Amino acid sequence: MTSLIVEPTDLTPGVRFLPSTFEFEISGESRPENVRKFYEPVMEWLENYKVWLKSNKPGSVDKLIFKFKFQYFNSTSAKFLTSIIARLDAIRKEIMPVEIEWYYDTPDVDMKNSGEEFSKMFTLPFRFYSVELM
Amino acid sequence: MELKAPTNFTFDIHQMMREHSVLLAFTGEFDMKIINALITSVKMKMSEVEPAGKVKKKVYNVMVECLETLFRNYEEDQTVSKLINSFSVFTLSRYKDQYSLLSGNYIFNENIAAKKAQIEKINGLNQEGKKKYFRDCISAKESKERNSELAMIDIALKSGNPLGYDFKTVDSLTSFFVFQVKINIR
Repeated sequence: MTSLIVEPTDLTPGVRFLPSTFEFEISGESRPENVRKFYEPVMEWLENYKVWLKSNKPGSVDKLIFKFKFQYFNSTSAKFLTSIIARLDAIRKEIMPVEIEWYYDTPDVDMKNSGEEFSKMFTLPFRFYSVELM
Repeated sequence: MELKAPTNFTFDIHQMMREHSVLLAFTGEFDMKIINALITSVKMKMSEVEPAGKVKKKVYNVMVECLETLFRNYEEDQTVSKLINSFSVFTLSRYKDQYSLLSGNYIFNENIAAKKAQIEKINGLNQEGKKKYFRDCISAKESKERNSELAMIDIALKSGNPLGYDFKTVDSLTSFFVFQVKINIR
């Protein structure tokens, strides 16, 4: 399974999904000019990863941890993040445990609240971390 | 050379901005380049005037959504001429214990009722109700109306205050939509 690496820009987050080392992270700002165009390959990669996992269930880890480290995302991005988390939840239901680690800049209560709202929509576990992201 | 009229005009604007404690004001056509320039400018300004990281972040979060909403309004109303769009306005001011973000853009009169209903619906909800509405919007099928609702509820949730609005009639076809968001400093 190939990795998905997208370098961050001022408007789009960095994506590092590395299945060989089980590192999955999305971080930075998300206010792309075309949100769908940015997130569709990410969702497609997750769909393919789910299919791959079905026949290649890893023995070296007992769960997958996806790290979300946003400094900002706009409301349209929130919609696509919902779809991403739904795909992670599907992996958890059908294949193996998945957890989300939600990092937020310490003073950014809005980012923490957004994570909490996402966590209410799904059954997969969220862990929250207050850090210095700036 | 006599510059009386433009000088008065400039001075009036200056006075008005001082009276309203305006930190940033822009009028013109909003595109992504302008929005990015304004965001950068506000980031710098806020680090000069606002010591509280929490408030700084909140103003930034709300401002980006407000500016993007202005931009999206253009895309929705492409039949409104470019000339009219070029007179949209955005201001950020700080007065006493609140930041105020004001935006203004032209809107077709036929769209006023829906916009008003959307804002009134949000203003009628308590914070928990707004959170539920936000969750409904982000899980709903994508549409322009839903995206507009989502932006509004996101702004309302983050500001924690009722959304202010007004519609100034321009002519039989259009009005000027003024939208205000307040952020408490404490």
